[in-house]
Amino acid sequence: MIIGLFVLFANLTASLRGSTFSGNFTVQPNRRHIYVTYLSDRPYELRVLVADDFNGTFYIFNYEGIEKLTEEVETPVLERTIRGSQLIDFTPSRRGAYMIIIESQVPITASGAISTVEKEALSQDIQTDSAIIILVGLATALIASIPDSKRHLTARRVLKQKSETRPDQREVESAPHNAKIAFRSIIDLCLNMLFFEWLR
Amino acid sequence: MHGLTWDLKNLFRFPFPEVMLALFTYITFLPRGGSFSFTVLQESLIWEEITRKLAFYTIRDAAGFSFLAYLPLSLFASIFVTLSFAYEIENALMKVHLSHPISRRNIFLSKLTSCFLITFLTFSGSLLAYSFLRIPENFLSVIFSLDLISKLLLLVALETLFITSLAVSFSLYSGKASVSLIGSFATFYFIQVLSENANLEFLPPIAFRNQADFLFAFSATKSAEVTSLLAAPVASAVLLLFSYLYFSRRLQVS
Repeated sequence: MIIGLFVLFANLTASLRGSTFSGNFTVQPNRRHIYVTYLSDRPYELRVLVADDFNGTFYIFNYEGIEKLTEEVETPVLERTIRGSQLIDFTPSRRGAYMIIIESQVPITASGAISTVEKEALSQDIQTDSAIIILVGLATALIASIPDSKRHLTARRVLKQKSETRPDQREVESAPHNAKIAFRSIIDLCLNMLFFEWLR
Repeated sequence: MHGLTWDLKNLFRFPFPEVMLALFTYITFLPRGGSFSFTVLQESLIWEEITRKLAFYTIRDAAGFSFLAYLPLSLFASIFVTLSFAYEIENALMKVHLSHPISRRNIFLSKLTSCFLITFLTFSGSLLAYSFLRIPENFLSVIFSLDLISKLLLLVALETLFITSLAVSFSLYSGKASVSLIGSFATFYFIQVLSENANLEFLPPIAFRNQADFLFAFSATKSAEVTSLLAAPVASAVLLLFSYLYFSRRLQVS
């Protein structure tokens, strides 16, 4: 539950950042330059910088597409013909590994560079995943606290039946009580972190 | 075993392990620009090779956080060790422990293991969560890359061992909770400043980054570099030995 909660917070508090990373490539005549990269679930602008006389095809394959490609079945999520330098907009449906292929259709060795500009946006898939983790954690915590709650209820029933409860007897500390304290401290911590993020 | 359970319960009285897990998860999952990318030859498009490489890069990224986590880890380890050793010496709780028919070695080991386990499990838990959630489709490859996971756990264990051993030494020799907490954390901070400003690569946290680079390297490392990599583990072992000898033979609890 804690992991899920803080994955969510990490993405909510710091997901509004754009960034750029780039790399050079050389592609042999009528061959392919292939590289695998990690992309998040947010809009990207891919800048392909090549000579003006370059002619080729640009492909992007997702994880399943890469698996099919190794079996020689091509199912790209994006296919674009490129003639000279180009800007390509691409938004992955999910974070993960993506294969980028530049296929040369010119008879000479071509060099170029690809820049990936990550635009500012929230990653929705990681928020969905963190919500699932939180729910699984919550369910596990609830299931784990059932025996304690049962014991607590049985103890209270027995005490009531025997009428042995003294007026100054303190409430027995139970698992739900501890969970309440832990939850309150997590909320406090989250608020502090949000405050520091806001200050920064 | 009984002593270990008691010590773990003692440390779990406070929500520090939960806070640690939260903090490490927050640090590792903060989105950051740039990521791994690797070239694949057209002739060697083999699915198993690609998934293995993805697992490698994911776990290597996770190992990179050993550098970032140094100060938070030091802070929490100082708190745990202070609660487990110096606080109990100061409040004469240690006297109660020592009055039981348990050897000093067992008491020392149970206290050390409980501090080590809490820091190790929370830190490795957040790093493993990062490795599994980074590329969700590839998590099976990560699970089956046992060699890479064991390298990651070894790295975390070495870092935790160094931090715990230094904090234990400080806690035992000072014998006072306030001195132990502030002194050990100040020492960790001083080591970091020294390591970064004087470029002393054998000192943490740069040493941990070098260990990560060594464990997840593509090429062989020079023997001179290996010597500097061993400095932190050797220092941990020496500190632990001295702490154990001091605890078992010299420690006087009034």
